[in-house]
Amino acid sequence: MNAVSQLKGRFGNYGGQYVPETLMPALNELEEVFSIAIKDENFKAEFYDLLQNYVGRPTPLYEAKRLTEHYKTGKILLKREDLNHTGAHKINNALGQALLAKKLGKKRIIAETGAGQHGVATATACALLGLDCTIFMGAKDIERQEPNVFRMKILGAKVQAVTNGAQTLKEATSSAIRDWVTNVQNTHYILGTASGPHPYPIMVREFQSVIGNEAKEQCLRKYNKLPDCVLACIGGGSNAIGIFQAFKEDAGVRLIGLEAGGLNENKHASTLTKGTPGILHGTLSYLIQDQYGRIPEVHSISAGMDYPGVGPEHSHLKDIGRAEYFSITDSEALAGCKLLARLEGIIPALESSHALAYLDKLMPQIKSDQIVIVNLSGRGDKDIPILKQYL
Amino acid sequence: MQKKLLIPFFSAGFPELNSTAQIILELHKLGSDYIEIGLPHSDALADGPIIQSASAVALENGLNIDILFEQVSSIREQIQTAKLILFTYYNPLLVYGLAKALQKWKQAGGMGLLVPDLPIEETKEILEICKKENIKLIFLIAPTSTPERIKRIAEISEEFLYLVSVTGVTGARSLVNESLKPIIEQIKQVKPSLKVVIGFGISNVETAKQALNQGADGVVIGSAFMKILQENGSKAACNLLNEIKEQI
Repeated sequence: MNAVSQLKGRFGNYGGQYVPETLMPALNELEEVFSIAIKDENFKAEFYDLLQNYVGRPTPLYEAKRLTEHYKTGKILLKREDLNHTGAHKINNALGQALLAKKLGKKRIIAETGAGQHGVATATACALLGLDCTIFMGAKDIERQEPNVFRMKILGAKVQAVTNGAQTLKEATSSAIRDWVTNVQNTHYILGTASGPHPYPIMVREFQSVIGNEAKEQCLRKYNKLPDCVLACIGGGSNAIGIFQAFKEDAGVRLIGLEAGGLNENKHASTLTKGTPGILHGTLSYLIQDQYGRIPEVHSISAGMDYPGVGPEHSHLKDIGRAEYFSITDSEALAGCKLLARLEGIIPALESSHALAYLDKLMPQIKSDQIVIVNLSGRGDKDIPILKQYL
Repeated sequence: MQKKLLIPFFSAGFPELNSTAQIILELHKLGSDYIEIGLPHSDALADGPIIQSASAVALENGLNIDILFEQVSSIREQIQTAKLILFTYYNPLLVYGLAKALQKWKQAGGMGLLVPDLPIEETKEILEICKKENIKLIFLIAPTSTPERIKRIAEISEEFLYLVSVTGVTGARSLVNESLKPIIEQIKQVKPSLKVVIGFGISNVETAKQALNQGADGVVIGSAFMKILQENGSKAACNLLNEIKEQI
């Protein structure tokens, strides 16, 4: 485990476990069960069997020829996480953690969700494994990601509307943590991103690393070389860390994360490019905060990236210069979304559209023999209520 | 019988920005053994609805850590024997600068610090600064704490140890968990001189007595005090404390 002390869950200075004492025994137990499970052949076989036969993995690494033609250089490959069952990468982690919950003997599951993708994935995993499921979702997100709310309910989950503060992902996460503090004895919290207190960042990374492992193998097999750049959008950072992980040791591969630039300099969720280190939801990482360490409302058109924090490993990768992070505005993301829809017949999630939008800036620097992989983390069906305003 | 400890908690800057000093004076006058002063935070994970909504009002009122230090400082001469504990989440301290925050708290007249989202694993840095400034760091123990953790926490605790009565967030409840007795006994075995106070859920004389019957040395009263403060003002809220004080 490079760059992270397994014991303390640190990535450089970042990470840690800043939670009430009530949760510490549960985190310790989770760490122990997780560290045994990832070495257990039976657990791995069960997990990979589900990924293959239920989720539909491996997902294709699709060569987007018309999109490449548009930029007239290089080669653009899309890692099609949008083709996963439930429509995004979130299912990889939700299934892994739901299997762990069974090992922990916990029958009740809670989760937070922003875009609703993690909520749907968790509701799906709970239906499959017979677990009771409650999803916390901000009231604003319930409105803008309506299709996913119905999906969760059809799957048998309770959707708990969170009505305080900005009524988005931050508040949903806080409510989930408060529920966990209250019901920790019978409840497992399936945190949806590679953030939160240790062991969540390494656990979520582990369950999402299948993305990068597949992409690397697919790229090498078909093109006999590694990609030159790997792009991924970043809210909390789980799809990004999932694809970056396989390439972290390959110094020649540029790793680029794209954050929510929102509307302008004051209304955004660009945590890594505009934030400072601080603690939110149990972890020390870059954070959008004021001079007194209080966290204001942030903004993104994509509910999944409308979050003032980010996973601690991304903060470390930024500081050591291994990954680069840039900001993409709402309107740039919308343009990226439309471009892919028109050229390739794929409607990407607004989150993933941030990664696609960066191609406009990146491709002019790309040589004809270079390969760029974009992690297409999810599909855009859930964004129809928003997209219809911008047709 | 030894006198039991009465420890009120209140959120600073509520209901008005300048309510803080007046409330401290009233709490001191009625004979509080320690006074916990909550610094409102935007993301208070251990707070229940009453304290969360008070925090939102206090932040809206413009309270911040600098103003709180000034408010406490301004009455320092009048409350020299008061034992003031700053109750704050870790991020506001970290961003302000741990050393600077603790130094200013000491200068303002503070003696203790309680950080609900700082488990023992993460306290190394702040403990060193607390030692330097002679500020007591108060630890929490929960019903979920394992015997091994209870031992470790009791060993490094000073003044008193705060036993959370339930798994959950702050807030008044009608009953106090009855399974706390073995935890208190274990703490006393590790460190007989250490006082154990129960908080989260103490709302009236009855729940205070339930807590003390399990062997606790005192009670913390927060949400119940804040609720009356909000509805009927500080005089009525202090009446609740007086009533409890008389009966324990």
